[in-house]
Amino acid sequence: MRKTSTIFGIALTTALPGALTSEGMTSEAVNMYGLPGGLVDMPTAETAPDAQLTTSFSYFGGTTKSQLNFQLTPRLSGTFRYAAIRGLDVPGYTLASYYDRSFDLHYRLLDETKWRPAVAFGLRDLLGTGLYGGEYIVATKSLGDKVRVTGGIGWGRLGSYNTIGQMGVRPTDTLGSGGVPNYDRWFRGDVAPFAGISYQHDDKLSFALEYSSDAYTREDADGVFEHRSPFNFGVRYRYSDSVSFGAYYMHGSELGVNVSFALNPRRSPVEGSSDTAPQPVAVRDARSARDLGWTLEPDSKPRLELRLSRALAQEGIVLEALRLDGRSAEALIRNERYDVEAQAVGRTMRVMSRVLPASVETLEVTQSSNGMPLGSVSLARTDLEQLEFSPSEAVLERVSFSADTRAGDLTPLDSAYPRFSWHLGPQVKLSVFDPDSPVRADLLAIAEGQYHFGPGWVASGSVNYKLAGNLDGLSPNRTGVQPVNPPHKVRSDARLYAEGRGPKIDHLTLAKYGRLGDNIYGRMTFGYLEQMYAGISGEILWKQPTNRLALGAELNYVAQRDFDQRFGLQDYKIATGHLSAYYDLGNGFHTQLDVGRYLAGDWGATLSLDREFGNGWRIGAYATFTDLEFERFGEGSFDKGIRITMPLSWALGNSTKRSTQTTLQSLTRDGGARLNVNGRLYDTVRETHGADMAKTWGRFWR
Amino acid sequence: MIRPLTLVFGTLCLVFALASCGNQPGRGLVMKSITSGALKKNQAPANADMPSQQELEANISHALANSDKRLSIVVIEKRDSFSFLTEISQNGPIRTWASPDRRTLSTSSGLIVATRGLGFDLMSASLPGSKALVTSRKAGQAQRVLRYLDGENQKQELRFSCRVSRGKPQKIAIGEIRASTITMTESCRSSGASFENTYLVDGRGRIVQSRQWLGAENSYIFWQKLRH
Repeated sequence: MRKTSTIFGIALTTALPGALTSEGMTSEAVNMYGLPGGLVDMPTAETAPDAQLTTSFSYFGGTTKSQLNFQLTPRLSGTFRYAAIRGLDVPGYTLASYYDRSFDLHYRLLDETKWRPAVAFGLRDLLGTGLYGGEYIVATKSLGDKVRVTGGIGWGRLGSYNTIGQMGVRPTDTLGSGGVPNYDRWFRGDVAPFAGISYQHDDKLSFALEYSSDAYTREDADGVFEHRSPFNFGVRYRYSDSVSFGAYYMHGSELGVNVSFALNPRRSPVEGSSDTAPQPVAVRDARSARDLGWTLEPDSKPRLELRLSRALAQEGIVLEALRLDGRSAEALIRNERYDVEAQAVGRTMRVMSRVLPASVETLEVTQSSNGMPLGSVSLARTDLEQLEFSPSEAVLERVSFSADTRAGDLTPLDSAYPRFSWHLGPQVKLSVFDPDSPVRADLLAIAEGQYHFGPGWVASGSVNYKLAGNLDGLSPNRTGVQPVNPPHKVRSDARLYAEGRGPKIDHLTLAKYGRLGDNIYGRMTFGYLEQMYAGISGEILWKQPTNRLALGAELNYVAQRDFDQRFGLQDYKIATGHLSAYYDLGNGFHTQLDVGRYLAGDWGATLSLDREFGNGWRIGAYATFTDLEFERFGEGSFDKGIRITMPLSWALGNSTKRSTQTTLQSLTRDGGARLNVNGRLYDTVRETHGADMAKTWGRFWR
Repeated sequence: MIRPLTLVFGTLCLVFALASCGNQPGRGLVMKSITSGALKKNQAPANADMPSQQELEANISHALANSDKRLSIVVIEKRDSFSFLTEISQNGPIRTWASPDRRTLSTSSGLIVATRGLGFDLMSASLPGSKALVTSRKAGQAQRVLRYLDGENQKQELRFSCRVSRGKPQKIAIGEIRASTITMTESCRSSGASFENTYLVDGRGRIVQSRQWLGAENSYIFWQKLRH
């Protein structure tokens, strides 16, 4: 699977068909903080529709905020924010604008009933500097279809105007080096009430009025803007299902604007894809099934292989090997087109029904990746014929999934090996959050190729040449908390790697993939593994086709590469590796735990949680804790981030295996850093296994 | 026959391989993923793809002369374009018909039970009651189930209660079809949707012309048999 990696990607929008189903009290509007809700600055108890992903940009009073909100479950949402405040006076900070990252959580405790309002609470800026730190408990009640009334109490920033009381003392010291939960501050200190009312005029237009409990004390004192009034007014216009604009009059002195882009991974622009039709199943007549005469013909197998591989090629599927006897057949295929594997298997079986002699009753399809056989699906041909127009669960009951190694013993077709594939094209590398320039990018020309010698043996290389860009201007970290006695710079030299045009070798490797047992998969990669490291990397994975749990181990010995990314190596060498546990939690959630030694020699663990959708979307977060002290790590204290995978098929409406992966990392530091080696096993293997395929089995007949 | 739906979506062009990113009036950053034909169609006045009566007749005789298979002509009303369908396979009572650009319809005694390649495809259908009433030209009540895939590739099932009624007799002469038919109407209703199919059924219970609902997105298809 080819993936285009970017460091950052924020706005993705689409025109989505279909009506919304309401799940409790939802709102597609977002406020100035990127939080779903119909008011201006203040939170409400509303949530976005489940799985909604909303990007918003807001500006008022010298402050620009870029925000990403994800409705992780119907009740829980998270917001990531990057703010630039012009004129804020921060000691030791010399730039015109102060840049700040923050993260919020919002949870709806109670749903609205006829008499009771919906109730939610939230933590704003719960990690990090706490510039926007504030907590709230809020209730919202709808009055008819158009009016929603909100009232709540806030702490921290949200308790700073017209304080009505105090709950303990709110500390001001930052924990660690920032970036750790400020739990000692939550729901402590001054308390103030806030309130608001929103009115939905029609589908397009809505209005809001609020009384804000945020005094903007610091901005007012530093002259960022003048806070004259607690009242804010807003009007919002919904341009389309995905795009909305807002305009506000805030605090008696400022105009504010907001634009938001919403998309929902649960809905596809084309449901079921607009791929061309599959081949119809060919139905045998009853008598011919007994005829084994063809098996006596001397050249019947090569002839059938040729016909089968030609017919499969029309579906974008490559036949690598075929086992054929009088009563059964197994096709080893490489699926280069369908991101939903069930569709590839279904289409292969349809073609088999059209090509193979009538006496063949058992059809088996085994998927191959990098010359390694993965999962198999087998089905009686009679069932295929009889269930062609039945619901897909009927055929799911009849298939059997396995992952035995027998397909590895098949003799590959002459056309399968050796083979060479290559690609030329442009690529963009992005970096965000650099204080001097929030977004930096390089435009590269890349040439890459893969040579498959034989089953499992792959030589792979990629070379790039910089056409334009400013990644080499990444500023050395001059602000924020400086690390004390930092570890070796295993990742933070990105600027030096970006210097010069090249050509640079991104990677140049020789790899061997193979099966080490019925449920065991292996990989060994040697060479220039990635931009910054060269060496050897070995991995084994244990995974059963229908088990939710999988276990893996990876061991690497690497040396840091020269900054020019030619063949030279630096002195820094390290053994690094992890034991990994992968677990499918069900309901679309997946978790992974990696325990081991990281690139800087620090020991620790990475925990990640993703929400996975039946169309390939994945949205998740990870955090890495190692024995590297927070002071030595530097600003952020530990590594953490948000990651998003968008399948291109979702956007295009046609099957394609391409996807884009985006990681929003708070800061690239040297603690908790991992090697980036190509060809890691788990995701490739699981896609072909019954447990994963069953989730999108509806595509078998597509 | 049928073009993929026009998709319009915006993106910050992070994926450079999608070279067709651009700034289009009124849509902000917009990328269009459509076949060139569909684009042309959108810019042309409605019905531009629909031929005149004479052109259509010439097309039909040409199609009949070039094939000895069962043949039909269909129009997806929302897309204003027609296509010839050739029968390409038969599985029990279900016949599958294909257009030259590899979109298919499957019918059971003339009632559509599946589509492939249209986007928002009808994946399967259960409609034995409707089929029995329509083909025997009798009025009555029936249930039908239509199945689709949702945005996450999960089955989405719509259940309808239908009322089949008998209408006027009508004579038909198109292609190689000459028939005296009765107009049968099937009105279906579910909690979220309703539609009305019409069928012209000949004395042997064959549907020679129909207008059938494919689903919320694709709406109605007009279907004319040209050769039994």
